[in-house]
Amino acid sequence: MNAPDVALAPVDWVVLSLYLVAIVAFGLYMGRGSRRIDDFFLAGREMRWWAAGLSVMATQVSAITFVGTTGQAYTKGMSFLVFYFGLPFAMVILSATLVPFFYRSGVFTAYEYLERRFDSRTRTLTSFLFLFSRGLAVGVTLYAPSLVLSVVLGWSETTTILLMGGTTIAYVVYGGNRSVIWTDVVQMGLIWVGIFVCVAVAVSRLPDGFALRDALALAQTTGRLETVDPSPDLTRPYTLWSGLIGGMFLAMAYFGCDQSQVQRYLSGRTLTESRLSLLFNAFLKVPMQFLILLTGVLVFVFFHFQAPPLLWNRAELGRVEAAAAPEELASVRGQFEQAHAERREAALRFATARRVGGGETEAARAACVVAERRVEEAEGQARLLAERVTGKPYNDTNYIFPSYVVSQLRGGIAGLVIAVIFAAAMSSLSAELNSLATATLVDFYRRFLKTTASDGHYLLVSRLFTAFWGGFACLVALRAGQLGSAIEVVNRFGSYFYGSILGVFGLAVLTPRATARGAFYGLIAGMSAVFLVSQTRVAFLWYNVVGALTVFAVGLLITAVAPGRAARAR
Amino acid sequence: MAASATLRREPDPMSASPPPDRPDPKEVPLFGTWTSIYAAIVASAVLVMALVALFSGWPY
Repeated sequence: MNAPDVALAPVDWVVLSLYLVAIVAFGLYMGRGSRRIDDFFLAGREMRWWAAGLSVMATQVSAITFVGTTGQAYTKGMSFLVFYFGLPFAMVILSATLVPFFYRSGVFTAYEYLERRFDSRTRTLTSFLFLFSRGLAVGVTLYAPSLVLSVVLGWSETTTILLMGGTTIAYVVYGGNRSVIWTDVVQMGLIWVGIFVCVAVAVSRLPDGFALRDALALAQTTGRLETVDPSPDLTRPYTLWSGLIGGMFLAMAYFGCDQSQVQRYLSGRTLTESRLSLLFNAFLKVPMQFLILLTGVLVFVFFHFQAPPLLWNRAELGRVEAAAAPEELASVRGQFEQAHAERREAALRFATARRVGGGETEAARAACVVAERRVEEAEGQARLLAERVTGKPYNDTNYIFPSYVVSQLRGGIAGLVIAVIFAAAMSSLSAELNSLATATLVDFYRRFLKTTASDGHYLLVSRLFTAFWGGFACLVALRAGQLGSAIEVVNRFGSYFYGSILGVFGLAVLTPRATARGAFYGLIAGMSAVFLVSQTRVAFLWYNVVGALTVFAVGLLITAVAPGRAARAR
Repeated sequence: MAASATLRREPDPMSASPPPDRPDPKEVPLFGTWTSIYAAIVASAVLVMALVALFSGWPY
């Protein structure tokens, strides 16, 4: 059990408890009456566009998106926003191409469509790749926020994982996709409320005489507002081009080929509703990420006037305080506090100079830049000390926002925002569990093991698969601390074939002549090409572009050189 | 290889669930036509990017 030096107030615990009880009860209530696998997997295909659209959005927003993005804005600024620039264009392309094919063919999984178009080998390989990567990633979906929340709330990791995982498993096993979508709607509504509350609170907590305009000017001075980098350098992670082109391919791969998303919009009442659910996200996604990043920037400004902890991870801070040499710790802490005091003074002088006007403003701005560099140096010294004491790399970016929430927000707002973080985690987890169960049943169990059985049998097995994947996620999350770099390897492995699978779907819907052989060996070539590119310094957003284009080119080449049987139904 | 060849010859035994027998509305509920809604999305995406660039460089 960790022991935080700040704690939630009773009213916050009430808010958090209310959320957990209410969301499980609501999920169970909305999932009643699922008697056919159509109900369990596709919510009876009766969802309106706004419900499916909010579910698509909630599935994509994980807890780590929420706490990691704000932390990233705090430390590096808003440049991460370009990651989403290609998304609206991807939604348009998917709505016009893949979605009609999926919907009209009446499939449960995206991979099922590939057998109709190519062969069972291509379907089985793509579905296996999905199960492998998403099956392990679902453990990370659970582990990452649990780790942060356990430190911030003072719970054990096991408690946090079992609470978050157990509540989600309960309503997904019972109600399937209908429960997933309706709880996603509520959770996404809560997340939107939480985003606006966070922005409003961050603005209201600025010191007297320090307006929002001053805060933005200060953030701009330290480069926190920079977003659009037009550099053509392929090794830079977030440029305008990597965001527009790489981000578009990534969004097409994720929303078009990942079953956790495909299953959301296949639940639409009509094809039009399914298309609109995706397009709804095209309008809202970038503004939403902008507000989340802006919250991180405002928290950064807030901590100019409020002393931050030496390390954001309070558990690690406790270890450092217990194990570091007292003189060294005092020296690092002294340097840290001195740098922050200087930065606070520089910020106040900057605001005063802006009000007075004249030539003082530029000098005050330059002083802010110098003060920020000193703070970064002092924070770097603190991190080095933590690494020396603990003997492992130290990164506390994900702890910044939850620490701010628990230590600074009052009157139930902290409880609300922690509930929002829970909601973000649970909404992703629920959709992932439901889609993993669907792919396991439809692409493997029903395809190879038990090809004919009653709906009741398949429904029972679907629930067992959901429970299995939920248990597996909890197990991976509980062991993730020991797995360490293995988890990173698995996540990295996922990026090798994401774009390549997109290439296979591109061949399926865009080229009537492409053969199964071309698609299968194109997929292998695409993954190999991405592996080779990943050994260079090219930024990861370009991997999906390389994978998709390689599959497409190799698939067409093989089709031309060794034509197979005629194309099957598109 | 033999297994994969067998898999390829077998028809998909799973009878996929047919899409609901509801007529798809001819008209898009928002913006009238698909072309209009796609154009609106592209225009809004460009506008949002321009606003973000303006926000970053605005002389506060």
